[in-house]
Amino acid sequence: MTISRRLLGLGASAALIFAACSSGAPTTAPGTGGTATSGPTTAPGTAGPTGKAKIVACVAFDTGGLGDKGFNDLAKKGLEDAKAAGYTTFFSEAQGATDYTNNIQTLIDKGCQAIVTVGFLQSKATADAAKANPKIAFAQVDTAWNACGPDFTCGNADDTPQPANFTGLDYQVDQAAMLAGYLAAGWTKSGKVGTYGGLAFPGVTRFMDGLYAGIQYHNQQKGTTVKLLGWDGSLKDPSTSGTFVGGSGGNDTWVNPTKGEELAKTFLDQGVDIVHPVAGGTGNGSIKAMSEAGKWAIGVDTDQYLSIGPPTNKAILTSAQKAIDVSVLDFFNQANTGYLGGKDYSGTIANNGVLLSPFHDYDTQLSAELKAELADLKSALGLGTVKVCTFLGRGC
Amino acid sequence: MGSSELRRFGELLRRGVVPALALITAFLAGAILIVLTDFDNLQHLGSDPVGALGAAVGRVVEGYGALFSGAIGDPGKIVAAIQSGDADHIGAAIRPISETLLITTPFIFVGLGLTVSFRAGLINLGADGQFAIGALGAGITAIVIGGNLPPVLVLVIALAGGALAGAAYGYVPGLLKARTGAHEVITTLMLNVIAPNLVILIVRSGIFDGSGSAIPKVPLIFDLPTVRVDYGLVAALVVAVAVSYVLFRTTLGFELRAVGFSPSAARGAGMRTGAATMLAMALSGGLVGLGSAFFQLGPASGLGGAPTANMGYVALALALIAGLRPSGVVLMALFFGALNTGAKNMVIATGIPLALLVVIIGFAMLFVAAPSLTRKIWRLPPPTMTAKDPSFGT
Repeated sequence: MTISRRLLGLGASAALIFAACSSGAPTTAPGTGGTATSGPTTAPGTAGPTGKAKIVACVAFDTGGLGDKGFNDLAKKGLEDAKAAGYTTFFSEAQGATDYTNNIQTLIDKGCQAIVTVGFLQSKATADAAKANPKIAFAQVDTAWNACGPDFTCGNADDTPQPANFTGLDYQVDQAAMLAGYLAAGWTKSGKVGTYGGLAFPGVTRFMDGLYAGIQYHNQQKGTTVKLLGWDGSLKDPSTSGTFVGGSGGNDTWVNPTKGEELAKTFLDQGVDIVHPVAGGTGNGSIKAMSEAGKWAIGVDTDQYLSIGPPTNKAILTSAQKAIDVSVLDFFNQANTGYLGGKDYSGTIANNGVLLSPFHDYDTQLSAELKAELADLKSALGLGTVKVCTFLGRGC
Repeated sequence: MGSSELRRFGELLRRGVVPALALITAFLAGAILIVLTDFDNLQHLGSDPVGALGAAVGRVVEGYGALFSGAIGDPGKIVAAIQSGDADHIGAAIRPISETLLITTPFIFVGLGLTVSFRAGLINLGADGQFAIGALGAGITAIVIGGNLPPVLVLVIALAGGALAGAAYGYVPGLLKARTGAHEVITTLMLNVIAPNLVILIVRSGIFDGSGSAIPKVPLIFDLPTVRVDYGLVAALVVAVAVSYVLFRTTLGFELRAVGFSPSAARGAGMRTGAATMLAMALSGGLVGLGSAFFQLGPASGLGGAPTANMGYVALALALIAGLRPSGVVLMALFFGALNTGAKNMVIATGIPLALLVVIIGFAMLFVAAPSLTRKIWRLPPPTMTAKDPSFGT
C-alpha cells in the first residue's frame, strides 16, 4: 500500500465514509479486467460441484457497515439469498483495525469456502488471506484488481498479478447511468440536466459519463437538444471543468448535504430541472432541494427511492444502481461449481450486475413510448450494439 | 500469611466487589437483550412459552459460549496442539487467545493514560484524538527518518514520535485548563473532532506521496502461523509497572494525586497546580500516543483507525472499573481484550449483532460509575467510610 493511502486510513471515520460510498471507491476504468464473468476456470475446487451439499458462503462486513441501506446491506441481501438457496452462511462484523484479519481467519476456521469482503479498508487483509489460503475463493465488493495490486494504485511495489483465488466485484455502472440519462433527456421540461461528483474518481465519473452518453443518445435518436451541465463528456478529460464537491475526501466531501443543497440550487438557477448527484450523502441534500422545488433527481448506487424514503423521495425518477446482492450471490454460485477467482467480475446490464431502479411514483406518468425506448436501449447495451464510450470525447 | 497481609488481601477483595458485580450485571442485562431481540423465538411465546423461552436462553448460552471460546480458544485443543509440537496446530489453537492479547496492548496503554489524568483530577475524554495524532506522529517520524538508519532504531524513534505527538495533543487541553480555566471535558472532546480531520488535511497535502513502504514493524513474540501478538504487549506491561511506580512511589506522583484529590489543599501546600495539570495531561496523552504508535507499527500495519469503535469511552469504562490502578488496568485490559475478540466470534457463530458488545460495555461502565446502584441491585451494605477512597485518594 502506498503510504498516503495508509495514512488516509488514519482518519478512520472519514476513511470509512470514503469506503462506504461507492463514489469514493477507487475503482479504475474498465480495461484490463476482462468483461463479463467467465465460467469455472481451473481447479476442481473444494466442494463437490454437484449434489445437494453446497459450499459454505461467507461475508466479512466493515466497521459499522450493516444498516447502511447501501453497500453493506446489499451484500447482506446477497448472503441471505444464498442462505435461501441452500448455502450454509456466516458473516462477520468489524469494529477496529485489527478485526479484518482476525474475522477473515475466524471465517476460514468456520469452514468458509467462499468469502466476500466489503469495504476498502479490508483490501490488504483480503489480499493477504487470499495468498495464505489458495483453496478458498475470495471476492471484494466494488473492487477491480486491474493489475495494480490490492491498493488499486499502479506503479508501486504491490503491483502483483491477481491471485488465482481473488475476484474483484466491479460494476459497469455507466451502462445503468446511460439509461438514466436517456430517461432524463426524455423527461426534462427545461431541456437542462445537471450532475456533479464528490471527487473526480473514476468510480464517480463513470456515472457522469453514462449520464452524458444517455442524453447524447436521446438527442441523436429523437432530435432533442437536451444539455448536461456539470460534466462535458465531449472533452478528452472533462474532470478539470466538471462540477465536484471537492474537499478532503472525508465527511466534507461525501456527507455534506448542505453543500449538496447549494449545488442543486445553483443548478436550479441555471434552469436545470433534473439533477444526478454522485457524492454519497452530500447528494441527499440535492435530492431534498429538488424535491422542495418540485423538480426531479436521479439516485445513485442503490434504489434511493427506497433508501431515502418519503417525503423527499418524491423527486426521485429512478436510480442508477449497482446490484451488489446479485453479484455476491453470483460469485457464490460460481464458487460452488469450483471457481476460485483470478478474474474480476464485471457487473453489466447484460448480467443484471447494474440496473436502472424501478420508477415507483413515476411509473404511470412515463409514456409507454419512453419505456419502450428504454427497453430497447437496455437490450442494445446488453448486446453491445450501443456503447457508452462511443458518445464520449475520449472515445473507446 | 500474616494478619496485615490477610487484611491487604481482604481489602483487595472488597475493592473488587463492585466492579465484579457491575460486570456480572452488565452481562445479565446483555442476556436479557439477547432474549428480547430474538424475534424468531419470541413470536412462539404465545403458543409454546416454555419452548420459546428455552430456545431464547439457549441462544444466550450459545452466544456467550461463542464469546468465551472466541476469546480464549479451546483449552483441550491448545494442550493437544502443544503436545503435538506442530507449528500449524499450535498457531490455530492459540490464535483466539493471541488475538485477545493483541488487542489488550492498546487497551493497557490507553487505560494507563486515562488513569494518570484521572488521578490528577482531570477528566480526559480526548483519548480518541490523542490516539489519532499519536498514529500520525509515529507515521511521520518513521517516514522522515526511515531509510537512513537501522530499522530497529527507526522503530524506536517512531514509537517515541508517536508518544510525543500524543503528549503534545494532550498538553493543549492541559495548558488551556491551567492558563484559562477552560474545562478539559469540553476541550478534549473538541480536539477529538479536530484530530481525524487534521490527519486527513496532512495526508491530503501529499507530503507522504511516493515515500517508501519500508516502515519497520514491532517484532512478533511467536513465530507461528496466524499468531500476531507482538512485543508491544511486553512494552505495555513494563510501562504499567513504571506508571505504578511513578504514581505511588515518587514525589511527582504524589503531587499529581494531591492536585487531583484537592487542588486548593495542594496549592496551600505550595504545589504548582497549573504545572501539575499540564504535566498530567501531557503524560496522559503521551501514554495514549505511545499505545497508538505500537498499534500502528504493529497489528494495524499502518492502516490507521483504532482497536475498537468509541475507544475513548471504552477505555474510560476500563480505567474506572480498574479503580484507576495500573494493575487493575492491566487486568481489565485483558478482560476487555477478551470481550472484544470474543464478540467477533459471537457474531460469526450466532449472528448476534456486534452492537451487543457496546451495550454490555456501556452497562458495565454505568454500573461502575454508579456504585450505589450496583450495591442496591445486589443488596450490598453501603461501603464503610474507613476504606480508602479508591479513585482519587492515596
